[in-house]
Amino acid sequence: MSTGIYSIGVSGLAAAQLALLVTEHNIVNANTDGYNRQRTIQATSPAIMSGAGSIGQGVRVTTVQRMYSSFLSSQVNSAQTSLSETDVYLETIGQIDNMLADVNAGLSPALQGFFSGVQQVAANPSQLPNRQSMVSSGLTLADRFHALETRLDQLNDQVNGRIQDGIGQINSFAAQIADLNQRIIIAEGSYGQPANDLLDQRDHLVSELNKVVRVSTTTNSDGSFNVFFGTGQQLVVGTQAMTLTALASSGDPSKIAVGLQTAGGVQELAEFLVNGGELGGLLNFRNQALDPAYNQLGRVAASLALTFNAQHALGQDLLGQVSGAGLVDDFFTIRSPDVISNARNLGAGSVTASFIDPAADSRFTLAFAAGTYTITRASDGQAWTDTSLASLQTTVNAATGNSLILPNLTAGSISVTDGRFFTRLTGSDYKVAFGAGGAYTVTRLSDNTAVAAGVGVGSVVVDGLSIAIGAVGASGDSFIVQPTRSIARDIDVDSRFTTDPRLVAAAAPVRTQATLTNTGNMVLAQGSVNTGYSLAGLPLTLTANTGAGTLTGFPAAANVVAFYADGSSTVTSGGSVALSNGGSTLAKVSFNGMTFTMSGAPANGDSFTLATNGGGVDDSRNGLLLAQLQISNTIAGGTATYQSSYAQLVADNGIRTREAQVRSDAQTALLQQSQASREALSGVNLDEEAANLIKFQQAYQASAKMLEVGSRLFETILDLG
Amino acid sequence: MRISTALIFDSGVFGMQRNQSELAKFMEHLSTGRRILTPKDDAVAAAESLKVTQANEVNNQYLTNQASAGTALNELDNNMANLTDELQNILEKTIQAGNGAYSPEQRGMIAEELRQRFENILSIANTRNANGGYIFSGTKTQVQPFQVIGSGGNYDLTNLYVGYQGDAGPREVQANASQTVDTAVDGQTLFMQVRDGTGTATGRGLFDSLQNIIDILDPTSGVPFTTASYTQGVADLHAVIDHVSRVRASVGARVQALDSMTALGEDQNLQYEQRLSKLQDLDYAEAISKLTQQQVQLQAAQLSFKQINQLSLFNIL
Repeated sequence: MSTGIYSIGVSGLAAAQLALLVTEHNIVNANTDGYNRQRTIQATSPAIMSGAGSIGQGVRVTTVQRMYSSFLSSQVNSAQTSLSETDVYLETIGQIDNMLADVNAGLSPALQGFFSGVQQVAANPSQLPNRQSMVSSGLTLADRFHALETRLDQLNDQVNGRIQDGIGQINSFAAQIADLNQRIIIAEGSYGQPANDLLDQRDHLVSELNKVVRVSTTTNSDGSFNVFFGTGQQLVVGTQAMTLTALASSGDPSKIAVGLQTAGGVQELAEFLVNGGELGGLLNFRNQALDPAYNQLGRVAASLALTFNAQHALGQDLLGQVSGAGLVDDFFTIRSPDVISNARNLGAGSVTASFIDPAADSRFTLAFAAGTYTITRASDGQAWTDTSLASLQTTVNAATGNSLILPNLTAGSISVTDGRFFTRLTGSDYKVAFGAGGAYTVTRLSDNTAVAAGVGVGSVVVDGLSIAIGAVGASGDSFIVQPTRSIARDIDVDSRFTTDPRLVAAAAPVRTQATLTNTGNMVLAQGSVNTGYSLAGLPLTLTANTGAGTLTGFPAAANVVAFYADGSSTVTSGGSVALSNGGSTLAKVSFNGMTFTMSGAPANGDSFTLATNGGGVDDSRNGLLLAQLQISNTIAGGTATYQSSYAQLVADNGIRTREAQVRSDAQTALLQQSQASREALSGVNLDEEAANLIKFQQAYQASAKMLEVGSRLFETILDLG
Repeated sequence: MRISTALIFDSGVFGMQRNQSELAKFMEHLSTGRRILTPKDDAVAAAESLKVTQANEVNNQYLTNQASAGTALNELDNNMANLTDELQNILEKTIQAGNGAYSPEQRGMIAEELRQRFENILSIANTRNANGGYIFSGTKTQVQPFQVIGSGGNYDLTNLYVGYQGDAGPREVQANASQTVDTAVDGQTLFMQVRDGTGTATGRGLFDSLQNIIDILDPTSGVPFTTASYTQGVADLHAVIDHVSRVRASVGARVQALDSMTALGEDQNLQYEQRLSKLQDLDYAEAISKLTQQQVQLQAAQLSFKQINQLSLFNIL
């Protein structure tokens, strides 16, 4: 009996001691990252059965239990990986937001400065200082584009660097998890008890790994973890860790992609496989904010250059030079769209791209034959037909965004132009993918829509771009066309303007003058020119013949379109037009790409000279048209101005940043909730541990008292003897 | 629910940090006076304010253009006023010379004075502006517009006394989004094609008419002084003066149009400024009240952190 008293007392002492140890362990690890509180699990020792009944044999500690729920932990991990993703996204996109916030460093002041310069030239075209100032403000504008692009480049470098760092961290965590797996297998195999602290460390590593990229785990029968990412790609299998590598993307070498080292070499992972955590946030930022920012900025730069150049080419410089005869047509220089051949292409395909000239996009040929009107666009050959001229005009204007006025053609064909210039660039990248037999499709990547397809060598026109297939690629080969990504990097003012600002074409190439001896009061305006105009045959003299009711002297070979006050029109050739049509007076004539409006009635024999604009140094007609571009819809198929297109970039980015901010707040709350749930189970509460200290101290004291009681009992027996 | 000690600390610290970052934000709003610090604060308003800013600046550009057009037109009007004075003077002298009591010698003296005035008018016609450009030569501002080329006879547009080397081009500036204003009158319109009230050309230029009357009055010119030629000469002078006043009136009309555009533009400017202010500027009353609220919150968080963390069983044991 007495041995029983001792052994039960000792078992109580041992159990209380263990419990005290565990409590102390909890207390000292209260602030250890990843620590889950522990407790001893006590059970009764096997009882001795006797005639008197079952006699308890004391207590034993069956295990030290880690207060851990894999469900609660994975909830925390999931919230953590989402928050890390959102926070990195918010931090990086916030940098663009900050960059666009500074009103003085943004594009608008430079844009305004440039067009003020154009207005100054228009106000005093003969003044060289005004011209010099306009060229300088053009250079400032180009520099501002460069500076904004440089800021984006810095962000791109930062993203690339951070992706590399993230991959390094993943590899390090994966190796440590594999190592812990090994130690856990050994530790748990030896004692058949959970290796609590090692498990905590491993769980903590998985949690840290989730901050870099979203992973999931499964537990093997030997206690080791498998770690997966993406759609089930293995990162750690038991004691083996895979290695990820940073590599230049095959589709676009300026971007760092994630590669997986396999026996067969490095395999580039599709971006959708990498989500969650910092890496996911960085890739999201690159795709959703950085690339669009590059492209939208480039779209403003490209559209500005293309439309300004198109209008500039219609002018005449201070030296009297016109397009094709000495004028430098293009004020701004921009590069062609970038085309990147996929590094894994096997064939010898060749793809190039160029911008559609807004001038060609606004020029059409109208033809009439067999009762049907056909109008064909010069830029891409697209045609519209109708038997009614009025409905054709409605159709073509609705389809193209132009505002053409079609003349009443009765035979043959004639060129029709719209004086407005705009681009159709979207700011998206495009993918040209080859299939079998030289067939290819062109996909717009912003909305993943197939926008064109073809077979073999040739070219297609897509969204203000001409994509030319110089040689077909092998099946499976692909090319990425980046029309606007790099435009802001090297847009510039042609250096000939900086050395000689007289080359700015502020004047118009034609002028009219009434003969001094005219007695009637017809006034012929100075005239304007459209794309494709020809000065051939100038000077010429138009003479009114009131007897015959005609205005004669037009080049005999030219089709002359005459518009009348009531909106009616005629197309004639042979050198003369009627002064009135159905009682309505002549309001406008147009031939060889030149248009002249008139008012008033001529006297018989009155004449007008149409001539090139020699010496018209203070003529600002083209300068005014250039200045008007600032408030014209020149972008997005004629629906946005330069400034509103830039404002769109600011708004888009601001809205995305705002969304990220809201998401981050929500994710923070979610993480806090799941952390609180986990802490409720696993966290150390020092008050509780203090109470436990007392509890187990008292248990220890009670067990010790039992030993004393046992000892007394024994002494009592001894005293008897 | 169990609460872990670390969580008590963490959430206390988190609460204080959040309050502090909000405080910092309010202070930045207050110190800059801006409602939108970065576009994310109100992306739509940020984009809108970019557009309004451009509209405002373009409008300012138009106001600048209107002012410079106004200056050019006033200069033009001054020249035309001088021209009118000279012409009035010439008409008075011519009428004086029609006095039957005047001898040919006396008419010759008047012709001499008219010749002087003719030179003045020619020099007005060849006036240059501050930039050195001829103001009456259309857009060919570097070509002297008027030169005497006559060699005798009765002058008219088929036998010019003074030839015109300029062109008929206007010198337009953009006065607002849809209107341009011609800041010049070309020499052909003002001096050559003298028109009557119906817009019909009279067939004689200003200089032709002047020189004709001078020749009629000058006994040494070889042109006889007859009642018919004198009457025609006076009528021509009247036509010239009427014509110049009509052209001058058109310049005045342009100045008036500019004035009303400027009034409108300045009004628009004010509207843009108000719109920008609404989009961008901080509501100070609201911001300060929020700042105070946030301060109270932070103090409460700090105090409760201190109180709660004083509670520990270990302190009592």
